[in-house]
Amino acid sequence: MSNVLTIGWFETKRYLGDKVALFTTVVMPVLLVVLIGLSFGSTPDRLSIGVLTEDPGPAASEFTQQLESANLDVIDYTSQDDLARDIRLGFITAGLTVPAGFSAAADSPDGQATVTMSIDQTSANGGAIASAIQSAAAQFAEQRNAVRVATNALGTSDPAVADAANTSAQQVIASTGETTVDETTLGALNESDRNGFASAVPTQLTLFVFLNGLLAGMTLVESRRLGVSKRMLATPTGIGPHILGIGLGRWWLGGIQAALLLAIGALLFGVDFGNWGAVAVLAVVWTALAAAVGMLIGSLARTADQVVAISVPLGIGMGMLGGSMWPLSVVPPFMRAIAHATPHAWANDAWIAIIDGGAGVGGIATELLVLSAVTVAMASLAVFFLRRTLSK
Amino acid sequence: MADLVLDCRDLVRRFDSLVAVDGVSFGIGPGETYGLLGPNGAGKTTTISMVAGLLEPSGGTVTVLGQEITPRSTTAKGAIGLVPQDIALYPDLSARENLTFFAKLQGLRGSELATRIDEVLDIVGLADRAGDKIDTYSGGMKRRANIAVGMVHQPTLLILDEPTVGVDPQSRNAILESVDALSTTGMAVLYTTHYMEEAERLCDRIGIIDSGKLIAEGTREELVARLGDSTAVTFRADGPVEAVRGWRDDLSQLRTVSTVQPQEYGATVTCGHASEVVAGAFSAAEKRGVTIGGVDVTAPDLEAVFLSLTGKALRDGS
Repeated sequence: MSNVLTIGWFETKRYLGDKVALFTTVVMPVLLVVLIGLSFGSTPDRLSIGVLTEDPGPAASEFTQQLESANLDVIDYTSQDDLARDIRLGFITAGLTVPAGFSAAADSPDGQATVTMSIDQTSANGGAIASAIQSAAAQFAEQRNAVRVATNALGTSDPAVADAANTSAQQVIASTGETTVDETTLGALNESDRNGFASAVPTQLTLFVFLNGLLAGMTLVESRRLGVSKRMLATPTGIGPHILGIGLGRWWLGGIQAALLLAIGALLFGVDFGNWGAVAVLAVVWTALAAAVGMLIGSLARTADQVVAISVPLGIGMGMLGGSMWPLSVVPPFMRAIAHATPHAWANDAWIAIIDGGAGVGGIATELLVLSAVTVAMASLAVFFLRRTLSK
Repeated sequence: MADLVLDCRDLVRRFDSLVAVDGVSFGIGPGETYGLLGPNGAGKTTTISMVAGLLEPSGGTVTVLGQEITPRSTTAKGAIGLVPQDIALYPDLSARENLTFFAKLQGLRGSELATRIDEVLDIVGLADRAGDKIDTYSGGMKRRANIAVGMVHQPTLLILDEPTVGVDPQSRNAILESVDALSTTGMAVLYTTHYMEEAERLCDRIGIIDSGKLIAEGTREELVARLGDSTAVTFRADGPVEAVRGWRDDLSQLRTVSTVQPQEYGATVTCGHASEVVAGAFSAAEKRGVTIGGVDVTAPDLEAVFLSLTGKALRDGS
């Protein structure tokens, strides 16, 4: 056992002396977490809408006010081109054009008036702002209808009557009881506490700890190439302790990487990870799995280049498939089933259960069991193949 | 032979249809330096790999201090120190760190660890560069660090696999002096080389290995005595290729000549009566139109023994 610790400690020491490796292990994942967290961190409190008013009438002005009262940031535009450009650049969520003749149409006997809304197809908040605009338009129409009802009933077109009716309609609408619909998003039980980093930290942790674990195979290949492996085996050190030692070095490094990402997530970005016991157990099992797969690749590959050629596509591909780049909730059921052929999907399921569902170790027991079984299988295969390689 | 440190019995190693080591047996006593001498590809490294427990023998046994050595032996390997032919060190660590690493794998701890590391650094002359990374060392210094790692835990048996390959003469001499000094410590040493002069300088006994078989064994004197009164005579000859080839055939017909080894410019023969052979060689050369530009007559040595036993030179193995 002491030889395993010795090998593990020296592997860690060698790795910490490699500045490039440190960058990919520590700096890059943290940067990505920050970028992803900031990019998808949260829905803005107020959605912004650009309004191009081509109609000088009062109804157009009232409609714009209605948008503002619907909790939208209204930004005035004077050019269709400027409006379209800012939508595409994402400076505003949507654009609304109030055409010439809008007021006349709104005040006509049938009250049919049309505005044009533009949204970029990639906008994440397109649905939300469309809904807000529809709601504002409905309220505006309701108010105009009430005025029309009042003036028709009184049989007058006197502007003073119309104004009084309008004011009255506004007061009635404002005080009218409303039926509201509470929206609940499944899987987001702690929605109030959730921010973008709550997704970014665990998914990037899963992705990068695994990727770096795979690249640990380079250490094993290098150790063989240098003849150090054989020299170790000429000491009272068997193949099992040899692999365990090198894997242990990467296990520790994976642990450091995971701890760093979790600490940054919790302390800097305010992510509530819930049950820290479960978080620790999952992180330990995941880093062990990553190191074991790395050892398997290292025992099979002949050169460090081969390890890189295998690890990068495998690590990223499995991460994509397993829900480390987008949530599995957005993929079709058959892809979700396929995703669970990767350990990533099980790990990401466990992270969601811990962070969003408040699960403890018992709540992720199935996932831990699957991940542990994969770890043992990978480590056993690594010992088998390395023994075969070194006996040649 | 209960007092043997290393006892190899009928060692065989096959790689598919190739028999790399074929029934090799030898033993080494305490404080003895045993040389395994043979050309490249003779089976020296394969033999050493089995002795160090890196390779499973296809047949036969290796015991060190009475304990069998196989790839699965762990405790028994603590008695062995291996200096492989290639530099098997971490280039990004210093000599001291490499020594610490391997010494810890051998079970050294605390003050004993520190003391032994300082001692071996002194022995190999690297004390003043101990903190520098290996990849900043010259080839010779790397070789010396490689040796230091093998003996840091004071093994009962030290195995050195061609430790001077590719080093400059100065470093080579320093390495040989380090190995020579080990004989005073009581350490048994197994030393493989294809340099005859190294074997002659360092080894108490020598085993000559060729094509996987141990073909002779003994002290230098015992091995040379096998040649009887033989002398090695080297001729530098020049002439048409066919004429030189014919002249070499003539040499083999001369009385008392036991072997003829073609050289790039001439031939080396082992023979009983050098003067008679030299005269015959000149006579044959004249008839063939071959010019003899020089003659070296040397006393019998291991090179001549190897030539006599195998019909080929040590260096090229041909």
